[in-house]
Amino acid sequence: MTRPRWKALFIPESTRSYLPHRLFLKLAGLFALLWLIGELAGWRAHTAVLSGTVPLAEGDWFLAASLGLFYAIAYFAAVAAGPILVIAAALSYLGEKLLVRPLPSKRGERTQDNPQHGEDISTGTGGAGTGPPVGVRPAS
Amino acid sequence: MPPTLKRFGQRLLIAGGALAIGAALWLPVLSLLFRPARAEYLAPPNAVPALAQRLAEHQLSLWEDPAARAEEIARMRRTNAEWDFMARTFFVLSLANLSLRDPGQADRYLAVMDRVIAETEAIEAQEGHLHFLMDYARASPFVEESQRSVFVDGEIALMIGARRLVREEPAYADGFAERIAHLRRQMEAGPVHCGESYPNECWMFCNAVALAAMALSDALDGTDHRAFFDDWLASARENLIHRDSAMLVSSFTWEGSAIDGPEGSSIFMTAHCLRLIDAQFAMEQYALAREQLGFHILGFGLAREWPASWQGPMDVDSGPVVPVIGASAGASGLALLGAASFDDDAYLGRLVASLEFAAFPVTEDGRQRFAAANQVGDAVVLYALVEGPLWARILESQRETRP
Repeated sequence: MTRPRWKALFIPESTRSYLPHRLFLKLAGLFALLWLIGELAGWRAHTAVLSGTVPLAEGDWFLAASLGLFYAIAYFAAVAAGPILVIAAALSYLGEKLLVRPLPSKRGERTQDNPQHGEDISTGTGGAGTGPPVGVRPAS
Repeated sequence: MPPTLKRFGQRLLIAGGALAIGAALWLPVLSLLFRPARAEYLAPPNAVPALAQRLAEHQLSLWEDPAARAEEIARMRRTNAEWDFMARTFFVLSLANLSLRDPGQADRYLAVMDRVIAETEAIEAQEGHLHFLMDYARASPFVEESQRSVFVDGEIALMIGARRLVREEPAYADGFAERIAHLRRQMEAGPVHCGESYPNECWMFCNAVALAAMALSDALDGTDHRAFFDDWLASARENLIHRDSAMLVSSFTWEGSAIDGPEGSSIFMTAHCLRLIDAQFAMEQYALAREQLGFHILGFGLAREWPASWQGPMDVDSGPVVPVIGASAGASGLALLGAASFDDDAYLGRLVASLEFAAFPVTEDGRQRFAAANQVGDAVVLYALVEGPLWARILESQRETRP
């Protein structure tokens, strides 16, 4: 039976598909990347919009103000939230290692945390979904 | 509960806990990373803080590069014509203080002060007295018959007086005396001893600046405005104090009815100027503003535009107001001046940390500006960091001449 889409969104089919520390690191990286893009593009100069000043003497001030706002949000996200996410990633990785018990597989052969010993239940198809799972003898 | 769901719940708890711990570890140290060394923003009266020197170099460069200055002025005037004018005032006041702090550079600074004053008066003569005001200044006549703005006369008089106090220049004397006379007539004509900045719109900021210009006149030319100052203070205490906050209102009609209550972008400069008129009253006003408008979050100092007892709109003076906390760029910028003027070093340090964190400093070739601000914002910060010697000289003159 196919899992309803909403359920797939909020309740992961397997623990492997929900690894917070990876998500946190990706978010921190994304914030840093967006900030870097803004910095390289020179949008820092348009942040005058924060003081209510039109960023450009002439030209499309609305676009410049939007870019300035984008830069400011990316900067605050990278500088204020980024390190929190990195710390949280490290802590949640450690927490999972120490506190979360490995989940037994449906067949009792292998778990998400030891995929080499059994079927990968995260996809329900085994491995990448092509051919039999590694380590499981195909039914003859 | 299915094992998968239970496991998901465990991981959610761990993730939430990790985020909370991460925030608890990072946020308290964030402001420490942005707070510069004290020597960056504080210096004895015979020295210049390093940050101020870099800001001054940027401002000076604008006056040496007509193209860059023209663009900066156009950018400011597109939002608010007043900023073009106020940037001149705060810059000249800064240069006066810099000249007194570093006499070796006084010739350079005085030359620029003369240029700023000459250009400002030339523009006023060419474009009209109301050129530096927003358009609505022309929408109706002023109530007072002179049809002049204390905003314009007050700030030009303050610039000239500051320049003369650093080094006397006789050519300025007549024009200065004329502006002081205009100011006194306008203010004495008002029912609450205040003059209009805009038609039927008096601003406390502008009237306080006018009073400071008169105090300069007393120090320079031996005039005596003491009786007028006493009348003004009595009137202000009686008519212009917001009852709930005990702070001076920011704007009111010529008759004295409040338009706006106490405002962060007004009260700190007002208190700074009132130090020359009544130090005790000025200190009280600063303490009230500090208590009701100043605050800090995680070590970052900020100021609200309005106290809790008065809710006003976001306007061109405040700049955008941060929702929920009510902080504004205008109030926080001028809070720097209040903190510096009243030796509130702890608050000053926190405000500087906010600048370094959220005003996006841009430093190149020994010059610095704040990208999130504009020329007037940078000039206010510069003035906050170097103010002191000019006011000290006026107060010293008052002590010498008054028993």
